[in-house]
Amino acid sequence: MSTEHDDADLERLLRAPKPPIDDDGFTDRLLARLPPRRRTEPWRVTILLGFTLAAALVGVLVPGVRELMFGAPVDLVLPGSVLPVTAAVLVAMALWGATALATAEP
Amino acid sequence: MPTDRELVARVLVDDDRHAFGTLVREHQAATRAFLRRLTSGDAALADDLAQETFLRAYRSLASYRGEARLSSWLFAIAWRVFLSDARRRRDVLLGDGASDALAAEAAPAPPLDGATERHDLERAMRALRADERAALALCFASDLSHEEAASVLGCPVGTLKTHVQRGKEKLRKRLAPWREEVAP
Repeated sequence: MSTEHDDADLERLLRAPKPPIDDDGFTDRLLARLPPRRRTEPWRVTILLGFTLAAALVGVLVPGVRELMFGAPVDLVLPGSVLPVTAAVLVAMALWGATALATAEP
Repeated sequence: MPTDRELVARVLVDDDRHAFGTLVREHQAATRAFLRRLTSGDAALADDLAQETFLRAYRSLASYRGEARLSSWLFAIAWRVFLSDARRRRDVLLGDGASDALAAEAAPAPPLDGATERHDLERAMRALRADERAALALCFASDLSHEEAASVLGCPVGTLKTHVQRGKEKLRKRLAPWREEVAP
């Protein structure tokens, strides 16, 4: 028997389909082993976002607090001040952090 | 029928267990068959490894970018799960396949019926190194391209081709005498 013939014969054997494997409860057993469902508790999200927004508004709107919160860092980095942009960035970061905290798995 | 990508998105966004179940039902047969080939037909061990494969897939589903077929991505996880288990058990010699070769020699003679060829092949496959078995299983039984199979095994395409060639050569040598025995 030639090598080419052997090769074709072997490949035919290797490709030959086997009987399909029935699920036979495999998927159900697996689903029962999955880790607990991720839970996002609405009250937690509401409280954290509410406090964050309130703090951000106070920081942006009240002049004394605004200077205290944003003035010094901005003066340090960019003398001349870009207060609205910095404030927006900080508020966005606070919101992002609060959302991540609220939706984090216990 | 939703696509794999749609089902993956549902699992990621809504933690939709039903969608994940659909994905598992769709891919369990191919993944378990691949692992059965790697474990030389040990169905119980292969199913344990398949369970671990899908659990890992669930945990790391966010890392699936959709660049490869989901089945290939699952094969890659299955291969890593198999290697971890083999190293832990230390009963699979990834280097030379000597113990598997001995097992193949000690196996009982195959029945002379329609299933003989497949039985012969499975016996002969035990003598191969794990990476040769995996390469042959992916390229022929699972019908992956050389590039896809190399990606699954995490090796260069050239190395994959070498595994295929060496595996086939070993199989030819092992199958030849058995064929002569059953030839008319």
